[in-house]
Amino acid sequence: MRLTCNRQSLASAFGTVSGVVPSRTPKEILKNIKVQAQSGKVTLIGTDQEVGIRYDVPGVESATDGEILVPSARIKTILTEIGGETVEINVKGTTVHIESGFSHFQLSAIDPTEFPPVADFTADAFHVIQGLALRAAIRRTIFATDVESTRYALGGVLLELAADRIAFVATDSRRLALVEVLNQCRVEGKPNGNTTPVIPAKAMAIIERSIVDDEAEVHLSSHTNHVLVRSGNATIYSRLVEGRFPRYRDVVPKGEITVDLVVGPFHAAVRQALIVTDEESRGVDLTFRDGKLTFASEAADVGTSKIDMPISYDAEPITTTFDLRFIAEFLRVLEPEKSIRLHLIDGDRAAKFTTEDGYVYVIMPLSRTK
Amino acid sequence: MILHVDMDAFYASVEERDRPELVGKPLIVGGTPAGRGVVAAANYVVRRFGVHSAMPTSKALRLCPDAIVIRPRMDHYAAISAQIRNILNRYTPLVEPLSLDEAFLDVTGTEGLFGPAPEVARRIKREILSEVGLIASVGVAPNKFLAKVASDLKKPDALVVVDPGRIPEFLDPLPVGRLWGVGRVTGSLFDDMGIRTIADLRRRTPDFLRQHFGQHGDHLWRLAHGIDDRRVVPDREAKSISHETTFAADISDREALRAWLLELTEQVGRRLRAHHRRGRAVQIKVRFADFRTITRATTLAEPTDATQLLWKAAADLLEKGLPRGCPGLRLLGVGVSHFDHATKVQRTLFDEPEEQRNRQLDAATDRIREKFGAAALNRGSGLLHQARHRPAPRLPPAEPQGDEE
Repeated sequence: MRLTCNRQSLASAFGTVSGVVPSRTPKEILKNIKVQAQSGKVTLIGTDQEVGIRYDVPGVESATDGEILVPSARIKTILTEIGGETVEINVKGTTVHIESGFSHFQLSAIDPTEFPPVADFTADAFHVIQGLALRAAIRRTIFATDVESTRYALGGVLLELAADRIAFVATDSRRLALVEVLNQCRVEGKPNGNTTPVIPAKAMAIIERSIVDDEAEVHLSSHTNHVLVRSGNATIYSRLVEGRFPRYRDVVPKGEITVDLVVGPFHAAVRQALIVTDEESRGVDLTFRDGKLTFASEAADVGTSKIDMPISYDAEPITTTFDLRFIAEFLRVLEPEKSIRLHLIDGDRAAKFTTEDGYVYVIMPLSRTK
Repeated sequence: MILHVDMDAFYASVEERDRPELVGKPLIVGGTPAGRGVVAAANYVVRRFGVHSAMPTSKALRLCPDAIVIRPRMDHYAAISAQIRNILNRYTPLVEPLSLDEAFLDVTGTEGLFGPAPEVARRIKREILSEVGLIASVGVAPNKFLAKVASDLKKPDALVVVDPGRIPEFLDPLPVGRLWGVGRVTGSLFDDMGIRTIADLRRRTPDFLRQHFGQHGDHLWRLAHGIDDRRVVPDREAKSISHETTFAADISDREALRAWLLELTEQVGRRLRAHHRRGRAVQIKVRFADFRTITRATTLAEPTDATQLLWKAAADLLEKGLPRGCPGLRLLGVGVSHFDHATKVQRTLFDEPEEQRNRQLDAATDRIREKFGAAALNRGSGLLHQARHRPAPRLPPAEPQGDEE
């Protein structure tokens, strides 16, 4: 096998694929990336057996077919360190030669026959979602997953797939993020797979990274135990998170008392209020009263802080206690000029943030008595 | 100075006190041979036949067929233990209970108030006898290790004072088996090396000991020199609550280890709840047959005192911490630390029913065990090591530890 290609695009291809390669694994072979040349097309394949990726490298010429395994970490370093515009990879027997400019590396090739296969995207009926919308949905939910959870299937993002609507839900049982995509999705054919897959956070991160073009369409084919996603040059396979996702709709509150806020100034106040908190006193009191929101925090051995911000509020005063890190994580994925609305019931029950574009974020308060 | 107060043949002495007709007869408090029970306590009469605690009752009865076997009344012993605790609390706030019948006291700060430590020891012995009707042995020494060795040296009814200026003279003639952490296995290794007394051990270099026993070697070297800087930590001040147990024979069966771990975790959970503590960090401690000791810790999302959640974390650590085919274990321990002092608790969206169930289960278990003893109730998997695997512990089982770190 012998192939020549642009160094930068090869480096970026290896960069994408190495995202799934496990750094610590009992199966040494998984630390490699498979390079496959077939009828002029070159594909890089990586997997940790939960998540796998196939990446078609653009602009590669391969004279002959074949496949080899190369060590992921080392090849990535080589491709970033060496100069030169093009790089040539040449397999001779049991060695791989990598040449570019003045540099020549000779690595031992590893037998690819033991490398686990990664499924290809073959479905002809699937869901289609616009790249931009998918990226936003992932960014707005992935941070709320809980990979440690043993009680529920919270280690991923739940997708509710319908022909004209896809909902993305993630929760760690203290807060919940929900995104509904309505117009930027459709179906091709009549997909009849699993309509409620829970896709692991790791796979969602890789899917997000695979979206290079906002307008490009991403294809998703959902099955009982896995999903396949086709996005640009990449095909991503992922096993699903096993277990039951909680009945989240029951916990999204209505919240009759509303407060309109702008992300930027609200986030600035939250960041200030977070300064005087520590592991043991994560709760910050938020008091809504007479056109003012007051953050009062107190941490033993640190001190106290009180931050006021003007708001439009004239309902009965409410004091509630939140772990502000959860609010900060929500604000971080929004543009500073965006308007959000906070819905409250009282100081002891769940609060809800909403945006105009179908993003809902529910957060539970801390109880004030033990 | 530190006092180690150790009740003599506690359970058996309580039974003799309550039923004077038993005095002078061989008496075993423990499980029945039919139930594969073990000796929880043996009075001094039956000990002359070679019977000791943790021995299977069936074996004890072979050694002394006339022995009277009484089932333990844990609730009763616990109540008496509380009376004794009250006496100890008169002399210092620094009382660290190790079990129902043992405690460390730090009287350093209260000697001005109550007189020198040996005098306090004498008064404690006198008050326990006159108010509770039981006999205690007390060791008085500059540290915990020496105090514990001292209290055990001339049982029963002993008062042994270790002169801080004459520690080598005190330790040197003692057999190495007196050192904490030296059991049968280490003992026979020492025997092969010609080390029989603590004096023999003290002549070896720390390097030599480290070579043969790993980290444990440093520990042995320090003890042989009478060095022990563990503080006396009352439960309410402890920064961690842990239990550990040393097995009579190394265990490599995973299910047996899990069963032991569950029991230790339940004890830790019980003490956490008794002291209204919720911990955020769970740690397990494992000592392999080759003395290599490892600890593995994990942090929970929320501080807890629920046995179920602690168990999940501890079992996970054991699963990940023990490589397949690793050597057997001689010691297993579990601890909880990073207590939450916050008065506010993060509420959750979904899992309140389960949390509530956990809480109710724990509360019910605690009440039953308080009333009827630890053996009264067990989780399904906990039965396992009782039925098949329960080995007699080499040391008093599950020595509680209050560490400050």
